[in-house]
Amino acid sequence: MPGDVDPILSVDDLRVWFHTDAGIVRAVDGVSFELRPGETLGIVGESGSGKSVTAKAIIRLLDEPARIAGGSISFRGRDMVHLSEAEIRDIRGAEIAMVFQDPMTSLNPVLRISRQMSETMTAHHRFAPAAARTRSVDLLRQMGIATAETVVKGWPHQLSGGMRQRVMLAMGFANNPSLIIADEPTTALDVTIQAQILDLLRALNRDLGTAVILISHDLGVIAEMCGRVLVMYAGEVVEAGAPADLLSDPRHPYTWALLHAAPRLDEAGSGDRRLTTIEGQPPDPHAWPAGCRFRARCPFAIDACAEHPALLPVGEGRLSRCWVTQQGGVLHQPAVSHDFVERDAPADKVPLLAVSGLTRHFPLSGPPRVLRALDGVDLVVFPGETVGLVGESGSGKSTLARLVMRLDTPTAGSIRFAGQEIAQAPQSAIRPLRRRLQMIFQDPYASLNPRMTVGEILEGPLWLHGLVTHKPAARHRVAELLDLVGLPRTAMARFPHEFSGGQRQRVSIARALAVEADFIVADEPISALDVNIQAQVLNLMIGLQERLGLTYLFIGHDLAVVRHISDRIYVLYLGKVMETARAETLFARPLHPYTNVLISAVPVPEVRRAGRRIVLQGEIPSAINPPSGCRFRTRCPAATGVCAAAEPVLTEVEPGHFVACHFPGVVSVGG
Amino acid sequence: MLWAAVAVLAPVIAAHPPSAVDVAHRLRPPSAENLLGTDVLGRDVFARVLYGARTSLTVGFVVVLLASVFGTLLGAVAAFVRGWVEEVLMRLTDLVLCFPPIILAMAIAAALGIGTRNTVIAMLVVWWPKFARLARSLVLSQRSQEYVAAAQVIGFGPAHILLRQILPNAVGPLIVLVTLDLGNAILVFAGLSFLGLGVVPPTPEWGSMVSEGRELVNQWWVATFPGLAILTVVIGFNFVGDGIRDWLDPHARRR
Repeated sequence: MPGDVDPILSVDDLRVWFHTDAGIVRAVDGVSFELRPGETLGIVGESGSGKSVTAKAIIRLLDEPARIAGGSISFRGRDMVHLSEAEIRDIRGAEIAMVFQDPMTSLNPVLRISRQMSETMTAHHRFAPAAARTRSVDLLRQMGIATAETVVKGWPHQLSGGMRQRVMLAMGFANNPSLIIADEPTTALDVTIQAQILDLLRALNRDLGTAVILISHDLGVIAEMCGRVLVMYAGEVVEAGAPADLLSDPRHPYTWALLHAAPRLDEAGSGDRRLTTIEGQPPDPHAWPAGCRFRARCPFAIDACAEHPALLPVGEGRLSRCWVTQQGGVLHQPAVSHDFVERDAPADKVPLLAVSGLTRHFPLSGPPRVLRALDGVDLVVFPGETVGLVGESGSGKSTLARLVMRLDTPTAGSIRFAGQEIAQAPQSAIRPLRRRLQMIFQDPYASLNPRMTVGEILEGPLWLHGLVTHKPAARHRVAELLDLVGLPRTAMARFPHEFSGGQRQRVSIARALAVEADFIVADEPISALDVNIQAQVLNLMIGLQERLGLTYLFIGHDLAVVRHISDRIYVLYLGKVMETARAETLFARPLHPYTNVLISAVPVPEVRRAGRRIVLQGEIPSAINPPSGCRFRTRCPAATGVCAAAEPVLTEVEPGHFVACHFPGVVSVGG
Repeated sequence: MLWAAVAVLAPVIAAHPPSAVDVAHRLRPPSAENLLGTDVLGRDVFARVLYGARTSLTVGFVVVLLASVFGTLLGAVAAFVRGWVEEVLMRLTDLVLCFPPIILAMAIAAALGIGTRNTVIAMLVVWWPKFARLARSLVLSQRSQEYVAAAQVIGFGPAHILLRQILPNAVGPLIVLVTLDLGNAILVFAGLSFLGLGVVPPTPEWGSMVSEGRELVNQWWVATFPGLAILTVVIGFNFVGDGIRDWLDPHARRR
């Protein structure tokens, strides 16, 4: 970026305080940065680091009890902190636009798209109503919506998440703003759609010269998009610099931890399966610790860290808030342990779970139609292994999990668990099996009963299955379980809302282990958690597997995580298996075009080599009327006439590697 | 709440028995002897208002508590079982709810005959569908929560899941409706009594007292004081209900 251009936005020593009953929370505590026209700035950090609050403060979207307690925000020479509410309204949406995380709630469900878009434009008197309507269609087309005329007349509920996010972007760009703030714009989307939206955002930044502030918890997303990165921790910027520098040579231990906590697709899968994590939780925002705020969790802490470090230059265009690196210290690479236990495919064993021809059709009301959520899936899981299940939303992953757990009954097909057929068995016959067959749920906030203490939640299953006969034994076992998942015993008397997401997920795991289950279905168990907490929970699951010999069916949309934990992986698309192989094989030699697309869509925390990505066009078709022949053909870059006529069968191309494609290996990421 | 104390302590506070007829002192204005005057039969209005609190509050509590327990169970079962059970139960509530409540209660009370117990039965019939409706929608929204699936996975049976897992999470709004409805029930009961369908005559009851006094324009105290009693009790319960709602709502509690 040219340094001689005046910044359009400069934030200096910004402080935002929340005045709560429990005291003042200094959510943003002295943040400074500048943004030049056309620049892309990424802000990364975990929940509670203050990144979203910073963004909201810029356009003064703070609600009580949050107040700007100090510092200045200057946007094109105007003092944003002291502008009147009316003046701010003129800037919002016109000169600074904002795109939020949740595309499901940020559009008004009772207004047509055209109305919402035109209102954005006419509100600032830049466009007459008629002009605004034509422009809506143009904008939507610019956002890559092919059927713009139809979409503009429709309602928000008719659109998928990705489409809504495109509409939000179109509204954001409607008044040609000079700055767009995107707060986790792709977090709620599938990787394939995320790749599309990021590409779009990058193109808009390049073509229109709009400056972008992108907020994300995902270093990969930031690295792909941004020219400069701020890393935030506990209300402060702890490191700033170009993504390439930050990623190859982090100068703050927190950046270092973020970088190593997430499993990466571009790293060889050898070595220990455990991830490098930093222990503990972020500090209590009511009282930031004196000295370096990261000290309690920092593996590099020295004596000097008892004093609060300043954000100082540590190299060309780089800033860091760390005593160690400011004195020239180096953050070493984490030791990769090589005492790696070879985990062979147990080829001759009897499968613990064998699913064949599993089908679930949901009849819809109205004209007789069926939603084919799952359409003839075969899957086996051997004792002691981890089987991963990946696919976009709508691929049938969660339906499969619910069927295996018999929370739902399949339309056809068989499920054999430990030799017993359970596909159509009544609940009374399944209840005894529940001691062995357990599940960990996605949402740690909804999967624990809010009115029960952790002790009650864990004791319930013990009494039910007659594992304990008297109260002291139950308490003893609960204490054991809490030890096992790394929670303090005092957790027993507390309620779920007193815990963080990661701790709740530990309770969830303890509940599954309470009945001494040996087979656990984990439905996206870590997707709602921060990167570091994800790594902690993954490590816990891996450790428990090694100690207790557990078998996992692990469902996820994060390919890197699934590859990291799984021995074998199934790739699901529209209710069918596209490809299955051992994890290393699948990622080394993906043969199905869909697998290739999924792998290439994952943002990697490195500066990407050009031309590596295959961006998938369009979205997953409806499972009500799936495409004929190969279900993937409508989005497949290699599809021919054969693909529409005949459905490819799942065939073995090498031992243990099955693929359902007429032209396996034609599309390749060359990985 | 003051009224609850009054109802319990009525015999202590009142100087005269509520049904003691003293024709010689009929229709006396309020005085030191009869604080709120006397009615047509010379009964002390003050004493009757106090004793009336007993009848009104008891009936109100009984009706609302029974209706809420009955309605909640039916509504919860409907939401949990779904299918034809839900259809039948919900159409039944529709059937009751499509009549104006007072008219329906009047019809039933008239058919069953005068008397406190019959009136309570009539009001129960009118009252339970409200709770069934609310309970059904609350249970429906809880049913899709993951903790319910988690309980199923553990192996808990449906009765345990409904009663021990779901209902504790649904009671908040129900309790609010109970308190708000107490005032309402007292009002309806007073209304029925006013129309002569409530209590058997000598029993002191606010509605019937208002009814007795409504012709006596010059002896205003006969009808006014029981009327005021009804007014304050209903307002009181509404405040209590609002208070409980605020207390249960985490958003309102934040400050």
